[in-house]
Amino acid sequence: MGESAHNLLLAIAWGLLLVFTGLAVVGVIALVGIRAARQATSRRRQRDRGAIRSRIVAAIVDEGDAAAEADRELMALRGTAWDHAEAAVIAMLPKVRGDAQERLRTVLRTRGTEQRALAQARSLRAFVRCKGAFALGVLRSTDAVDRLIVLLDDRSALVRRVAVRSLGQIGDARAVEPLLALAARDLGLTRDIVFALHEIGLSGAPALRAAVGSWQPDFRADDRPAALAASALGMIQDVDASLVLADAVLRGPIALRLAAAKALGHLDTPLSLAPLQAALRAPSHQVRVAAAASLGRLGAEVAIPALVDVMRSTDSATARAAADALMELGPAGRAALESSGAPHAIEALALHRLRSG
Amino acid sequence: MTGDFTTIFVIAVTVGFAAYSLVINSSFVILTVLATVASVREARRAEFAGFDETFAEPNPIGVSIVMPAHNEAASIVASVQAMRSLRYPEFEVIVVDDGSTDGTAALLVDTYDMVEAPLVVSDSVPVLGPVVNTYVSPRGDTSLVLVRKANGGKADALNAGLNVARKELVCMVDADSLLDPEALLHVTRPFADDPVHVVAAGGVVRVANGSIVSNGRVIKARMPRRILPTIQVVEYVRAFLIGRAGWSQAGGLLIISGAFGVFRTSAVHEVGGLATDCIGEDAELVVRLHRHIGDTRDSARVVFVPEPVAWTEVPEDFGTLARQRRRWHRGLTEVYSRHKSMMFRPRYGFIGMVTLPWFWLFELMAPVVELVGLVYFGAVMTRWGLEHYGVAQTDLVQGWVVVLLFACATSYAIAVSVFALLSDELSFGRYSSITDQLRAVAGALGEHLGYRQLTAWWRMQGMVAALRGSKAVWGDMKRHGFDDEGPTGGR
Repeated sequence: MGESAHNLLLAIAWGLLLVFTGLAVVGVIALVGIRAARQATSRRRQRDRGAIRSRIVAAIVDEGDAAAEADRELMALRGTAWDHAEAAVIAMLPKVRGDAQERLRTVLRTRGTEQRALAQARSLRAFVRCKGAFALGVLRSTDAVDRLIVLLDDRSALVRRVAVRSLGQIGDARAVEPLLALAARDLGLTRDIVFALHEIGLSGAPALRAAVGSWQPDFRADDRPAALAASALGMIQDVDASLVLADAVLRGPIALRLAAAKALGHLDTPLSLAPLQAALRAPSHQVRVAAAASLGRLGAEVAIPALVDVMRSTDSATARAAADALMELGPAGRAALESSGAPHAIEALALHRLRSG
Repeated sequence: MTGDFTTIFVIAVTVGFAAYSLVINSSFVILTVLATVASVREARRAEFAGFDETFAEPNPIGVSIVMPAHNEAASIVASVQAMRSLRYPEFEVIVVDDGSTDGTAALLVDTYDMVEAPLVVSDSVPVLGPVVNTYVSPRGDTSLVLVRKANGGKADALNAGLNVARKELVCMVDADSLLDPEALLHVTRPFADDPVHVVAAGGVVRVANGSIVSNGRVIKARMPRRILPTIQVVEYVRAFLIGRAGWSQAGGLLIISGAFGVFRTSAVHEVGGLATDCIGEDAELVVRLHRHIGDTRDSARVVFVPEPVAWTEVPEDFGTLARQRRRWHRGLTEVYSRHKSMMFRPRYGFIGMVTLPWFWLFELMAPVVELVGLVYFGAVMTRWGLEHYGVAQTDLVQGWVVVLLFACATSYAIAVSVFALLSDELSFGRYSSITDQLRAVAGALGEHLGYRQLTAWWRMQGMVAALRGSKAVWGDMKRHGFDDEGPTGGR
């Protein structure tokens, strides 16, 4: 091995050692520095925001003149004090109920928060767009619905999520179709879209019914708008949807049948019973379980023979769901369980006795 | 001529070891970047996640928490208490007492006034140790079930729990783990977001030693005072926050810890439950799920969520640590013995083409390379010493080059650990004092002063035991338990 090669290797080794040691030292300094900075920031925030927070709490809990005075104090804040107050009110508003919620919204609107939020919703920075969309939802700004619908196509998943939730909070039926369309192309927002459709409520029911009725025979598992619409119809208890859901639970693809079986359990109408009893014989055990649970929730005594029959199923989940449903049906259901002797019947009765003391 | 050849050989082998170290640490740098991006994104998302609304949903996804317990009397009540006080709208807790001899079951029955109940235990997943009886607690809103069975091992206990579980998701959690109150809300989120594809999700496991625990919850995270658990804190940060979050971000998450993982119940049933003849049953289950996904051309996903936290007590003595590491590496070896055919098979995607080969080279084989490297370093240093004192005159060894390359590998590994700690601070900032951070840095340094070499030895023993097929011994772990309002372990 030549002297020059040896020297080169030695130089590389020294260089790497210096670089790695330097990186480790820089890392340690950054670690300690960031922690120290965070401690200082946390102390300063506590000091600055303590007083503002107490004014906001006063605006929330006080009533009459005291509440009006607290509102006036908030309106009078200027500069960074107002910035802190605005951020705190926006963060707290979703948890505030009743009169105080609308008063705080009025304070925000009067101070121009809505315009600033609309401007933020157009920002180039995703996090700022999120903040804007979130504020527009909190303010229930109907003027912002179109802008929020545009944000459903945002390149940032977080912005899309916040826009979905804000559209739900605003509760405008114009958002239903765009939300269902989003469900078809964004598989990661199911829960948020269901939340939004639930929040929009009965005003969105016609569009939801149309979506459930529009399923195609070549339905794929990922084509979820119809299934989501069915779930939402159950949650908003749209009794007028019973026919379209009954059709879906009997003839639809599995994901739609499952959603429809669950939804029918929330519709207090006799029209739900026959399709749910038929669904107890569905090929999918998930659909059978959902149908049994729905029949129990509806208190459908007429379904007792069918449920007793299902309780003999070899599939434990189905049998247990049938036994639980029978327990929900009151004395008649319990009598059926007692005369059954099936293991799941014995289990359901034992648990009932235990929990009822 | 022979001397030249030997010198070149010595240098080539030295550079080879250094290159191995360089590649493994560089891949950790890439994982650190990926994990930091994922963790910061998760932290931002949490601000807008709307977890409170989960409680208002009419159809939340139910979760069965299954806790296998074998001689866990020291911590079982605190663990169950913590589980029952989790923030989640619909869940049940199933404790499976796997033939304990320390009164674990009796303690639970007494504490929660449990009553024997004829629960139906399905046989969809076969179990080795038969279920003796089942108990239910009439207290509280959350269903608490105790399943007593003959000893069959942890995997067998989990399978018995699966046969009793009623909910759509099953959360497997060690009986000595404490979950953060919102852990279930976080870890079930991917299932609600993408119900069609997500079949499993894992969360972060952190070290509880030294932290303040009250009512079964970690209320203040603190570094342990002793160096042995502190080093393990650094290991856990590297393994979970960097390793798993990074692999998940890259689309190749291989392992979900048995200490805290959530699975779609039907998916676990579909693959036949946990393997009772493999000591690394948690890793084996996830690899088998990946195999199933590849074989059925399914588009299912296994994900990691950086925020939900389970806290666990780590060993504070060398004997327990040795048994744990032998067991872990034995488990990994067994997983590879079973699933080696998945490597370099495109049908298994990123897992087959990247993750499994990476784990084989840098996890499974790492103790072998480290120990051979250590022996080699000792031999070279001895030879260099002999040359230096004139005992040998061959001038074969370029001592400084070897020393420097060894120092490079060590300093790079320390830098990677420090950046893992930095990533944790940037993302979550769980440890609130500068003293704790300095202790963690001491752990990152101390890891290289004997700890790493010892664990490499134990891991290799585990590997040899697996290859020889000797009988697996679980071994009891010494625990201090979780003291109320006091620092846990590691004082």
